[in-house]
Amino acid sequence: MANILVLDDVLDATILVKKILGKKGHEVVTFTEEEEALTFTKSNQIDLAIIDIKLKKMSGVEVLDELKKIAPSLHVMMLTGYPTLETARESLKLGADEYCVKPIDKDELEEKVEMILQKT
Amino acid sequence: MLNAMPDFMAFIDINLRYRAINTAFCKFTSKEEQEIIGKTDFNIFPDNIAKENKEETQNVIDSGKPAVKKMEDASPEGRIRWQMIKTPFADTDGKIEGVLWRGRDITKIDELENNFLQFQKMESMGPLAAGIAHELNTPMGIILGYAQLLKEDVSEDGPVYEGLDVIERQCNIGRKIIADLLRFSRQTESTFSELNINSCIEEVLLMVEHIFNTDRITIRKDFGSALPSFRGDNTKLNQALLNLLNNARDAIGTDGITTISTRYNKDHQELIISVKDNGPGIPPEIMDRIFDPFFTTKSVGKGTGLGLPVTFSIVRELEGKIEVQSPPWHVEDNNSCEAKGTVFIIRLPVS
Repeated sequence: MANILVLDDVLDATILVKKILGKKGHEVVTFTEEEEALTFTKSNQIDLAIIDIKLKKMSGVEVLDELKKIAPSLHVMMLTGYPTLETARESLKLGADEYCVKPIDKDELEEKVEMILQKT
Repeated sequence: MLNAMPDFMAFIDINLRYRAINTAFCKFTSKEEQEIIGKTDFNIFPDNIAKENKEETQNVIDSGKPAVKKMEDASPEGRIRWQMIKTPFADTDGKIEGVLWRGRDITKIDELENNFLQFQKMESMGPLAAGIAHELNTPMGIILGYAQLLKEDVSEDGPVYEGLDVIERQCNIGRKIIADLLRFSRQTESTFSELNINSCIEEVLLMVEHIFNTDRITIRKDFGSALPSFRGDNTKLNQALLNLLNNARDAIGTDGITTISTRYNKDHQELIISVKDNGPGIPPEIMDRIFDPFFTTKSVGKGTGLGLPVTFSIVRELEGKIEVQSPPWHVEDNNSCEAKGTVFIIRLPVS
């Protein structure tokens, strides 16, 4: 049972992840605005953040950077429909645990989340 | 001298009779000189063509304005495309004495231009296809995810489960198609080599010289010397430059000046390339949309709005920046502002 934050500019995408991971017993909170997600992280305990790279105002990689500043031990999974070597390298360099490509399979998502949370 | 010209020329008086011609005109009409001089269109061309020709010439005489047209013609060597222009010829008092009719064989050039336009279209399809493919992945992923989720809530041997199964299966097919499309669009992958910016610009100018001349747009080259070379994809860089030049020409229309300059800034280790036009400029309201895909101010069919976005991504791939000033700031001139026009400035890091 973990506290998971999901950030994606498409609302339906966040709710989908919430439903999938919610069924597994996790507490999932969803955001479509970068600022709100960052503010939430400042005053709440989060175990894992799942972030899309394409967001409304910032890049997901920039959000990753900010999140790590707020909570250095936070696990992060990057999710993107635009995989590039550049963003993959940068994300891993900034400390992301996983870099996944959309559309992600439900089972794959569940497995990866389990793997990351077991690292703690 | 006129007889040595490949372009055909004919002088028609105000009574619509041919007064002077050159050898190329004889070839064009398949007639001897004596069959043409003093005669009218009806003696030289088939009736329907003669009628049209006569009317055109009369219009030029009446309006005092030149007429330009392109025409395709069949000849023993195959189809030929002509670019023709009829200009009113006036005496020193401004009274119209006749019409000068000139024609140029543009078959080869037209072919080249068409090939090139196609090539341009193909080149911009790459990023377009990639963009669409990526965008499609998002809704596809959501459909797939919900299908999988819903399957868990229904009994496995019911019609709903079966239906969801189909949805899931088709989504996976869709994913595969998108992946294939992406792989295809990535074939416009880059091949890097050492490039010399001045040479690249010269290559591109070779392609557009003719059309710029036809539109009476002067090309001014202001090249820096001893510029360092840089690594880039030759085709893509040329594409980026071509897009800027085409935009300059579109902005100007006819009768104007395009200035291309190259410089190296040692302090910033930057190669600076600028393409300037003296057209009407870009209105401030649309300034921050010009790099948006599919944003265009041109009429339907005349522009897809992909030129600048493609240029932008090519410059980004070279880790450079592109900026636009409209009107241009003339830094060398104590920050004076040129009256109107636009300049695009590309900065490429070169170590």
